[in-house]
Amino acid sequence: MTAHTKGTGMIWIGRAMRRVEDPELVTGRGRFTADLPATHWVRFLRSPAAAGRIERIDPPKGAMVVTAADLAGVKPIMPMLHKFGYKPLGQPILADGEVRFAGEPVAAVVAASEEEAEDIADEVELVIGEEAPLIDARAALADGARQIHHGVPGNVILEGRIKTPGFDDIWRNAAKIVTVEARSRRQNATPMEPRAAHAAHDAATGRITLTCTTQMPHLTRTAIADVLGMPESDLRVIAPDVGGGFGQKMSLAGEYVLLVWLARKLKSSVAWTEDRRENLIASFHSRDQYISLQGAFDTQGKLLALKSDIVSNVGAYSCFPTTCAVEPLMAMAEMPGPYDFRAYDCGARGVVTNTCTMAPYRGVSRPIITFALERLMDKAAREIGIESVDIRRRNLIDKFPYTSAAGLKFDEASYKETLEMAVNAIDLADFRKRQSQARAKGRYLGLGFATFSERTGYGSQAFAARGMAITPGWETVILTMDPSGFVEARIGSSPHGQGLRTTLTQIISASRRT
Amino acid sequence: MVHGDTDRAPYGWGTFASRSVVICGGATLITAQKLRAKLIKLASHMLEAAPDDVMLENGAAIVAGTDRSISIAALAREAYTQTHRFNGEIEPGLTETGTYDPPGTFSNACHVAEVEVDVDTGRTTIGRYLVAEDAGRLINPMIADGQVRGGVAQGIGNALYEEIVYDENGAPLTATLADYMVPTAREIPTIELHHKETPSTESVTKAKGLGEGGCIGAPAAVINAINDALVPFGVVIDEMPATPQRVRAALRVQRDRA
Repeated sequence: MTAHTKGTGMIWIGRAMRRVEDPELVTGRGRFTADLPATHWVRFLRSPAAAGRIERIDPPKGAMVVTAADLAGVKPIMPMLHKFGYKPLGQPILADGEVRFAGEPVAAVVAASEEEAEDIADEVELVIGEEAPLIDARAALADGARQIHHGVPGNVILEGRIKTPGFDDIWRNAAKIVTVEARSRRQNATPMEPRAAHAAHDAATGRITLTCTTQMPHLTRTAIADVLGMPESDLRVIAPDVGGGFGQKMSLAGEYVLLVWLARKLKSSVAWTEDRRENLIASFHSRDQYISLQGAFDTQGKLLALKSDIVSNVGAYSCFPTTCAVEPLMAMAEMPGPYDFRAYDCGARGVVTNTCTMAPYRGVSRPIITFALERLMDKAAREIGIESVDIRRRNLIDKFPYTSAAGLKFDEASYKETLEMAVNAIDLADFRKRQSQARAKGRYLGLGFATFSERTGYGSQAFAARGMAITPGWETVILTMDPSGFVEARIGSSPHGQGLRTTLTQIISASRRT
Repeated sequence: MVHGDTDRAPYGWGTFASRSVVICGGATLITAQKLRAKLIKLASHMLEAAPDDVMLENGAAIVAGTDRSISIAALAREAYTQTHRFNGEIEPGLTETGTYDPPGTFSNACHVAEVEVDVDTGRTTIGRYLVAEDAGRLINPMIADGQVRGGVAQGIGNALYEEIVYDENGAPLTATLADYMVPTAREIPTIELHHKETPSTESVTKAKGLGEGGCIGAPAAVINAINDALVPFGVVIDEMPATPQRVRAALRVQRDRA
């Protein structure tokens, strides 16, 4: 650290202090899950078929291969939501009779090394009676589409609706209706470090230590203890250095549950490191949505009403703890974005399909709803014949606190000011000149704006409003000044690359003075 | 700092949903203020001064307007080893706990992308990218900038490159990083950042979160820019990622219609 850190008058808040985390990471001294030695290694045998019944799993002689039949007493992962007609959907740790997406774990091969486990997995004879899968959400919604889960008729796992009073009158009287059919294809958060877990049995205490790449170590412990029916105190969960999460590592991996089960059974250490292929096909996906969006405007480009239909492909199962409602419900609640209008009519459905399960990925639905809404604003501007900047000037919120048409309370922000900062920095008039000159030469330049709000730092009430059975929200911090006068902070949060240790150090240091 | 270990860290939720600086940072501030109050109480007892007259400065507790002081290290030692002197008025030790559960606070930003679309190949190149961001009070502007830049890079991936594809049998066709294309440094332009700081009234540190904003704004800005570039062709792209194939297909449809 080159910065001056002692003496009075030191300003800690607002200071670009170098990250205290970095020296160990950039000198190869980081500690990651896959660095740990283990006695046993696991390779998951995954379904090559997207849908069908498991007819036979024949392991080679002498191999240790765990299947659903071995997991009596292990409960499925059961995320829960108490609203929006949510249909509870259990996810078995290993496919139990039926497979519902290509990549679903069917069996776990245990061997002395990763390579040996992979070789044995190749020799397992897996026979699946395949069925025609449903991949696209609209296909899964079609009349007569095969039902993927018994408890989910029509493949709709949840359905939300908001309609503000008096909507229809405002809609009917608008001068102009503008429509966007937005489609966001499926994505993967692709952290640099794929998922990995290491579970070790302690012979003295009988406890298991699960070291894993996770964003939520405490809830991982709570959830695994529930699924395996063990006291939580018998399980310690450690998140060492984590090579990126982006949401993919906040949802519980069934693979981690199986590792703990194996370590208890074998009374030994057992490890699994996901390869890139597994991460791409079988971790968690996101963002597969259709959004039909219509805006009603007056002749000057003022947005009066917004109508939206959101179809969110949630994949084969529901993710724990947020449930698969996280994408459609966030889309519904935050679709109005940073714009001031009172009339809102929105329906949102989560649809199960024979694809990899969806889970939160940085931004959750907001990259998609912002894309849809900002396309709408640009289209409206073009149809009305004004600059895309001007339609935003006419519609951005500028009085606070503000309650959105969807009922969210906005605290003070600077929607118009940041737009003007950007317009000034970019020099719009100059760009239009360059654009026109380039077009004359057969080159096509374009300028695109996006103005948006980002809901952050929300506590337990926000999660409770979604009806989540588990409402995360608060955090606890314990500060101890030891007899030498140094401070140790113990925090419940679990940073993994965000520089939180540095930021919190600055907050603690600043607190020495009032 | 201890985290990521259920044996050593208190129960907590984790890092997600742009929450850590607001919620964990808020809990840290609340707890640090408790610890500070305890130090002042101790010093006031040791220095026989009113708590309001005690200041923490230069690694010491000082009685304002006097030369009486005690180092923080000595105070800490007293808190554990001289508790018989507190007459039961001060609890032994120097450990404080705090929690925070706020309602939420809105950050905001404006993103601008300038692109060039090669209408022969459908390829989009980003020439300039600018973000005007307001995440309330910034504790560490360098870390804030890093969050925005990383998010924009992922958002550009979403806008132009990244797509998980299944065939009609449900077999994944994008099972390697040669098929599922995350952007590399080559595809990410310099990202210009401008800040405004509107202190949050809903956050004790006055900070707002900003972990996700970069990737929230980027797809919209990039695809709006592509549409702006293609105005002379009457082509509309409302799908992401706007791959060269999709852009070319839209141009072909429009040409055939004309």
